[in-house]
Amino acid sequence: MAIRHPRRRRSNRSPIAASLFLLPKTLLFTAFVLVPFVYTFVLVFQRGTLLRGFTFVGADNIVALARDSLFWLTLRNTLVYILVSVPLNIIVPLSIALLISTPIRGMRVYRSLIYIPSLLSIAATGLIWKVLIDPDIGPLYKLTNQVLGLHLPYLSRGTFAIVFVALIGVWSGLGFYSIIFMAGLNDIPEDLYEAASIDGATGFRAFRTITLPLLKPVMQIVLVLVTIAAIQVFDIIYVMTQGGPGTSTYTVMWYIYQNVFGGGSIGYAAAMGVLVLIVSLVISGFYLRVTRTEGSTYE
Amino acid sequence: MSEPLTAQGTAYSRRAFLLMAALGAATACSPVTPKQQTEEQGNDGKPVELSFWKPPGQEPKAENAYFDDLSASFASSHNNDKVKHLLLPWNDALTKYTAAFGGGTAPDLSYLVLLWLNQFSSAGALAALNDVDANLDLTGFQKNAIDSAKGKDGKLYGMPYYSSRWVLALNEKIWEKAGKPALPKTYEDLGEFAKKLTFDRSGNTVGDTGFDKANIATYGLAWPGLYEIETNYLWNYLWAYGADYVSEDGKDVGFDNAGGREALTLMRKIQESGAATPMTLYSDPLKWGEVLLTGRAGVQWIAPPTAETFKKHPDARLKVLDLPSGPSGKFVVGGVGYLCISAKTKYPETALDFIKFATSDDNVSKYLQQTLLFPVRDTISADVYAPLTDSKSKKFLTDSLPQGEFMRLTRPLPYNAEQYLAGEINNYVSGQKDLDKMIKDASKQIHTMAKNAGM
Repeated sequence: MAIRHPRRRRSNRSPIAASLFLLPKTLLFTAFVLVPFVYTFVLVFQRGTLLRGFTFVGADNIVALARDSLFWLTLRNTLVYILVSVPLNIIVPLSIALLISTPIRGMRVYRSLIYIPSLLSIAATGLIWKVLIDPDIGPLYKLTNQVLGLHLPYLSRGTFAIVFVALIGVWSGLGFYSIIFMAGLNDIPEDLYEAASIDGATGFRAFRTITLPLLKPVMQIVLVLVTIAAIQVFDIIYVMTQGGPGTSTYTVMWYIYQNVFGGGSIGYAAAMGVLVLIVSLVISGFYLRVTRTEGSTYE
Repeated sequence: MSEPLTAQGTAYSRRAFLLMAALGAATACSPVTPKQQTEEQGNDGKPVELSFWKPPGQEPKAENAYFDDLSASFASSHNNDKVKHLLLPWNDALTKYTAAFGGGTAPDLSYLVLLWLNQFSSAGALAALNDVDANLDLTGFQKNAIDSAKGKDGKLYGMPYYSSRWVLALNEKIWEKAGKPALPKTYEDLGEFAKKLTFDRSGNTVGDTGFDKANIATYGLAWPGLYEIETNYLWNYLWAYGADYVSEDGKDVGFDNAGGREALTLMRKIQESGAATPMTLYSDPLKWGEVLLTGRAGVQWIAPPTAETFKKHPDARLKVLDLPSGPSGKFVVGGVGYLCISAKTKYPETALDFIKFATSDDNVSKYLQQTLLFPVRDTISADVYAPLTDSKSKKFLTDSLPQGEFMRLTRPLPYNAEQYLAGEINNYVSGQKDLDKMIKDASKQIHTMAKNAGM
């Protein structure tokens, strides 16, 4: 059926009025987004700090970055974080969304409870987990290391520490991503499942052939969001490990922060920032390509 | 094609509009060279208000109360001039200072540790005190504290306020349980001593048959791997073996030599013996602060405990140990805090008057009695702690005061080598890297950091 668009009225308002309405937003956007964004690219070719001012150094920062073993370590750590965080941030919230979409008694309470971790500040999250894994009073530590005898190193050992921090990140984002998936699930018409069940497709088959394809647009958004969040991981590192033990949980953002506020060069930090931006764009582009939504809508 | 934007009848082309925006952005982004202000601007005799930022030297409540009183006393003796004190949390202090000095909103007065003082003074963000008062009286101040705060121009950029240093302390109960073995004189001794003070949950010590390394009740030595704690004692080991954390010119590591390797190897040996706590036993600094007092560890580098700490642990008996020595002598990491004036303050003379007031012997003594920190002026003797009523903390302080002669200040570098190097050394000591690789990585990184800091 053809949709009738309301006829556009010719505006008799002055462009000056329009410009004045747009001006505050434009100024704010220019000052706080556009200028810093462009200036970051300018800084890549400079060395210095906010206090000392800057000098042009050509491609020095880029060359130094390529040779900086600590930077490559931070990239590796960030990659480990992404590899743990991204799949789990899809699988776990999706599973929970499936569970809490089922009409069972007390569901509203469960939904509220699941959202609680997402309401906590990162400082509170850090504190909770520090208590949970405390060797003297931590219930989680006691369960895993004393009752079950697993002797998990938690934040004590290199790769395990970054994996554990990533798991805390997953816990922290659980509520938010579950709600997004739940909204996606609610958008899938019940008729499709009814039709599929008549054809004999129920349970996992219905999930694979109906739910997953129709959740692709939501999945795409969540994938991009969790990947960007993982690439930019900083706050949980700041609260939980400060980059330790040793340099095991140094991530790119932590290293950028160290360079800006530890007396390093802002230009060097800007070079890292631009590289992270490029990596984010490549990954996001890759996601958009592999999760193309053609043919996945039900209309 | 879109029409040119118009405002008040004037037509601006898109190019002109973009040019204006670009010029505006360029103006906003252009670096501003701090202009040094060393002459007081007139305020027509009216009282002035100065801002003063400082991370706490004690509990925030007591710290605020102290500086409120100090400010009131200053006002009553100085034309009602006010000093508004703002307490900065240690965790965020450097970030806030950097943003404020860089953004032109620095406080008139600030308390800076040596590393920060050097970063800000070398960038021209601090006023030279000699420029404000050419006849500044520095009588009695410790020479190294004064020399370290001088810039390349030979001028003084901060007035030493007080010093802090950690002490190697022993839990006497654990020592008695171990049969009072001979106290350590060297770092080699310390490793062996720690073994004797280590007990598993069955009461076995290191070397006993059946000693269970996975179930330790008491560790001989507490070894926190947290940067903010560890940098209070880590360099003692290197210095005692004739090494340093950075080289003389500040562009390389200072431990790629025989002494440095020997010190690092010894640290790893102690860590691997099972007599030291795992560096990551706790991720909370407060938990580490309790380890010695609760008897979880026998020996630990600690800041002098307050009366409140002893009240909380009434059974704890602590003994100050002599500083262990190495082939090159004995040293203890010292931190000196300075009161500094922003290069942009309008009232440098009033600011300096406040600094002189705050650093007077009487006022510093009051502060030290509350904070249990150490003086940086020879005119303040051990008697400063005489009014303390808690006998335990008084004895601890009095016993540790003589160790001030071995205090060595950390290097005034324009970049933060300490946090990175502490982490890298931990990588080796905890067995995550071998020595050569750690030194190679650290050397490359320090070179990069120094270059980035303009060295």
